[in-house]
Amino acid sequence: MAGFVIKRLLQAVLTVIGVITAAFFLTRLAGDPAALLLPPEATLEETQRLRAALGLDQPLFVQYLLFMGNALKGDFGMSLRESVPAMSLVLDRVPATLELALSSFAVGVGLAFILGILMRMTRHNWVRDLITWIALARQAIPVFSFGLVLILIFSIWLKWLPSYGRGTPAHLVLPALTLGTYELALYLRLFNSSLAAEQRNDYVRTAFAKGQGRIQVLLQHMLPNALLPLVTVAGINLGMLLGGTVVTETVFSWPGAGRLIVQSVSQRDYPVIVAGVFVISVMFVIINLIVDVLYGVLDPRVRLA
Amino acid sequence: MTDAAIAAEATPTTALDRVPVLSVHNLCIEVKTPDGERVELVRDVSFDVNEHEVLGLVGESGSGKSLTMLAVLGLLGSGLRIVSGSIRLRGQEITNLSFHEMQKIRGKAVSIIFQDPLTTLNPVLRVGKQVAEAIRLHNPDKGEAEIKARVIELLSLVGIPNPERRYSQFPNEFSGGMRQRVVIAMAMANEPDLLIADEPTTALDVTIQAQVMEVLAEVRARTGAAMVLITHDLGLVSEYADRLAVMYSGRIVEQAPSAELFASPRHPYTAGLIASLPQLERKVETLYSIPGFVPDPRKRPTGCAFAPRCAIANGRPLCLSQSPDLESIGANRAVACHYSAETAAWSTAYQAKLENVATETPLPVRKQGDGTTVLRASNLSKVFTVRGKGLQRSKLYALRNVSFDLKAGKTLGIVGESGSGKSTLARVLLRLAEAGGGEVYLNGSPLFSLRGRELRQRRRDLQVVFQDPYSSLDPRMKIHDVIAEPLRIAGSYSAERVNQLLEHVGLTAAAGQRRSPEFSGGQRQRIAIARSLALNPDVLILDEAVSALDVSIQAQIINLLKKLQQDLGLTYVFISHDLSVVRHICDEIAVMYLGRVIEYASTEAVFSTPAHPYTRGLLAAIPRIGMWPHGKGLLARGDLPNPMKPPSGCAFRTRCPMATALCAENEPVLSDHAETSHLSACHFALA
Amino acid sequence: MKARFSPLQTIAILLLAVMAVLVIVVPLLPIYDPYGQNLSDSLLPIGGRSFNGHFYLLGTDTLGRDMLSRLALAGQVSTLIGLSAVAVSLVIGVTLGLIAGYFRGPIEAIIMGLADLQLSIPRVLLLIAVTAIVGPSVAGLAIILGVTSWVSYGRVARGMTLSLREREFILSARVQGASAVWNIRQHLLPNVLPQMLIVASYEFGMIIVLEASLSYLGLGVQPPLPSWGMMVAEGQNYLALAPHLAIMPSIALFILVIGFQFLSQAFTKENDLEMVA
Ligand code: SF4
Ligand code: SF4
Repeated sequence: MAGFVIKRLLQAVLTVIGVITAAFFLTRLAGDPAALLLPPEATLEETQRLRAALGLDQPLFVQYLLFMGNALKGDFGMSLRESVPAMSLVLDRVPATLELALSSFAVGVGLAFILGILMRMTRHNWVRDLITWIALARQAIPVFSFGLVLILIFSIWLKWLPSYGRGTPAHLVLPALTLGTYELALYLRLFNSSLAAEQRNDYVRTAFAKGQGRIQVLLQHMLPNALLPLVTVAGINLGMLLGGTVVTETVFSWPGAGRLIVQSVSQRDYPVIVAGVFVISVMFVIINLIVDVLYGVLDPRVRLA
Repeated sequence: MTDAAIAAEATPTTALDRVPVLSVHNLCIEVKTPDGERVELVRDVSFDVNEHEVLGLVGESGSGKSLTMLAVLGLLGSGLRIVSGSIRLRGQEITNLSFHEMQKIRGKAVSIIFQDPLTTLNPVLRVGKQVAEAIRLHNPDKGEAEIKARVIELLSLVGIPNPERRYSQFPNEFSGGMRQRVVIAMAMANEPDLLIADEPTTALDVTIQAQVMEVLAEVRARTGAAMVLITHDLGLVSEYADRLAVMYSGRIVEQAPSAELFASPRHPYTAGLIASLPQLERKVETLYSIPGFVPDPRKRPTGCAFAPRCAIANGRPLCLSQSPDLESIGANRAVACHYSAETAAWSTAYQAKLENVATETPLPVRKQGDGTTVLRASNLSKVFTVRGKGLQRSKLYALRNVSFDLKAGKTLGIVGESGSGKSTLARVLLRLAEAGGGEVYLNGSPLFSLRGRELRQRRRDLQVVFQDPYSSLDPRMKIHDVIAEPLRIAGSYSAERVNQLLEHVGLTAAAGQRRSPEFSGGQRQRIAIARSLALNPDVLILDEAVSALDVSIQAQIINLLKKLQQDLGLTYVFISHDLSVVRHICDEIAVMYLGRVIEYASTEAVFSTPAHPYTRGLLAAIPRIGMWPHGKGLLARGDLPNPMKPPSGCAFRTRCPMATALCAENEPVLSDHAETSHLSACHFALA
Repeated sequence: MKARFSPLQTIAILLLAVMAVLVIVVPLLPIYDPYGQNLSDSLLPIGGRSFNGHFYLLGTDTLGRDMLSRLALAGQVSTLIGLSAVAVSLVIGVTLGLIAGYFRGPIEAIIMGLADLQLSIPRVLLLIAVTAIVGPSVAGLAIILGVTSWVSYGRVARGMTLSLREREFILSARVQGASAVWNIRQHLLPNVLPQMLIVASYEFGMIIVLEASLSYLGLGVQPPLPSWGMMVAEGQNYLALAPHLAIMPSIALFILVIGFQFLSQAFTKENDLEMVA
């Protein structure tokens, strides 16, 4: 188990280094950082002085190391539009993003779990079909379309819930529903197929042969096994959710990191973009690490290996 | 009067103690296929199981034997349904009980042991909990402590060492044999009246099988439960069953007390099965093989389902038009054959023919090789690095100093159980895995130093047939293309050659136009053999090539291999876990244990005077017809040790009945103890 | 048996037929005019008629442009981007997956490391970052979407290759002297491709949604060329006044995406049956 955790930690570190590397190349692709920082009428001399100050006259590899060192310190330079460090701008927005992502996650997994069990237990085929179809249909609607439909119904027509901003729990309802239901079909399909796969195992037949009832077998035997893949995929998808927050935040004017990034793009504020992508990626890496370790705890086959 | 009728008449009147534990009457089970067709998988099956009795239910795959018993538990899968017939447990009809009502019977009055101990236990639950569950379900008023005590008692009853500690472990900490013991403990938890054992040892090695069957017999004797033993292994039922029912294509074709059935089979199918079984005691030049294969249940022949394969039907109209009923003959026997009276004559004639061959012609002269060595392995070794706990790595010595010398036209048998390294040996010989040391010489020149194009040329002389006939053919390709592939790779394709190869293995050119999913296991194996012969190899490695086949098909393939060897002068390396098959086809045998060859001698010598205790244990563990009980003292004890931490000295010492202190200190070398060429690696080898 | 379609396949085909009519047939009609502005006709509802009797089947947008025509043109743009991106990612993914699975060793480690790395940056973010820097254009979008979408193909292809390469028919081809190229061409590719097409039909929907999301954020297709995502964004401002502006392109997206999803599901089911049989 300890070895497993160490291995995953190493992988996580490697991934972060990879993300930084990708970020480095992205910034260099964006053009000469010095040129971006200076007003267009700056003299050649001024440019050169700034280049030296930023270490841009060094060989590329040294620049890379410099960049990496700064990144690890969380220093991605100053925002080009506001004179604060890019990182602090991003970090200000992170709690809002996390709030949205985690509540969406809870909505998605919770619904999948309840509906999945319902589908297994019900004797009516139409219930099963209905759930599947609704989930599938939901998955085919992009986040922004679904968000707008919700706004149209609940804010404009019914006037029950606010359509933008953050603050009260009521503000959270529509964004979390929008984003959380997006992966529902995926979770459901996965949950169902792993339950079906477990069903084929002899231990299920054995449990019946011992005299257990259907519900007991489902809850005591199949569920612990079938939850494992759900945990993994849900973990990976939490990352997708983090990506999905970008769009959702824009739809609902939610003051999160994603919306900041989008705004920075239109303002060509590159340090903020890079810092934002970096922060969200690192968050994702950490979440995945936690999920993997959780998986190990749940599965004795991994824990004891 | 039919058997069913006799039973039906007898049941109501007899006293309660004469009521059979289980009585199945005219049971029919159907499946509804996805395209809505209804197919009968079990047809009109009737039998009784009496108090304390072991009934062996024998049949090849698809005969309906497992389905019948799942029906008894009320656990038929979806799409399957009992159409008619009755199942009575101690006189109580259970076919009309609901799933819920059956819950009280399952695990209490009847319990079952499934084939694969790896999947029978839930991997994420502690073993003790799983056994406890079986008790708690039927004794809701028992306290936790009481249940736990009972579980530990059960675990020690089935021979699990340290039951207290084992109680809270997970299944993956148990070996296959130990898991099956847990399953037995679970099945016996409520001392059921009837125990169903569905191929309980098929997934286990033969030495472990012997131990598990022993335990099963013990616990059963203690509680007096009746048992139905479902198996394809005739040897096993002959040792452990009192009475047998043979199933073919969904029907029972013969019922008889075990000894009588083997002594004088009355159904041609039973007689054919027994004749086609390779036996340890004798070696015959060709095994009898039942021609053809089991019919698809959707396309059963009208009349007797066995007619197309029957040795005595001779196309008689009665066989082709009318399905024979199961009629009782004599006190305890019943058979479903119009001409069962003729079976005995056929058996005797066949037996006589065998003896004639054995006495008159001292084995037909084989197309002998010129005695040159074709394949030589010298000091092969292979080490795998296995990731262990944490970051540590441990070494697994899969092959240690394996050497042999194989002459043209001969067959070398490589025998061993799982973990012996025999499959690794095959891969190393074929250069599918790189050896860690040593060299292989093919026709005198070294193989390991070859690279690229040169290797691709030379390895054509050394070909292989694998175990699994289902994954050895690309499902998308036509058979013609499958066999043509090696020719195309070599750039020497011709359609005639492909057809010739098909003919070699007993298939028609027309078969080449179909795809592999249309063929049965035996036919696929023929195709794989044809493909391996395409480039005229010198040596064929047969890696468990007949192990996945049913008995009657296995005999066909063995005979084919022998014929090909004779016709084409092939040299074989025959890798198998099954000593009785090896005996029939091999000239020399190398027995492997934990990566080493521990005995190496001619087949005759190995079977008549096995020198190594492990070989003797293996031989003793093989169930065989009409031999019971076997030499218990010779059996290997316990489980295979962890191959990453092999015992000091002799690797076999933890299981050896003869081990002494010396064995723990020195590793015995492979040498000839009497000045013969009979090699063995034991300090106390018997020569 | 073979000529009949399952219900799912039928629905998929019907939905895709609706899409085909929109994208292929509508541009051939005389009313087709995606760019023509007519400020006096702006924000007409569905089935609206202008003063001069001009009929708009799906109404008009803020600038009085015909919604139906714009939806059709946007559909052409999206499908074009989607198809080329799928083609690019399919080729990259299958190639890398097969190489990783067949040769194993360090090559595999590098390729799969790359895949993991890419997965650790949420795809939308990666796309935002790249388009922010490279700048949006239709061809650029297609390439970027393609290059960043290879991972699903790569992983599935590698997984299948890993299990196939241990299958006896490949082992025996190796023993018969087949080269790596032979095995990949004769056995791996044909066995992997059908599965890849299923992945592709699923991924196509994903890519359409991604493109729409980028365009919604203003980072994708640029005006005056229309795109469904951009049309939704424009419509968001008039949600209370003229909800059809945002709803119509959403419905178009929905039909296209769910059509392909059903298609991929229908194939998956059939294939599963084949594997069982
Ligand atoms: S009934 Fe005829 S075909 Fe059937 S087993 Fe008897 S002799 Fe053979
Ligand atoms: S050397 Fe000792 S332990 Fe090994 S087989 Fe011989 S007697 Fe048994």
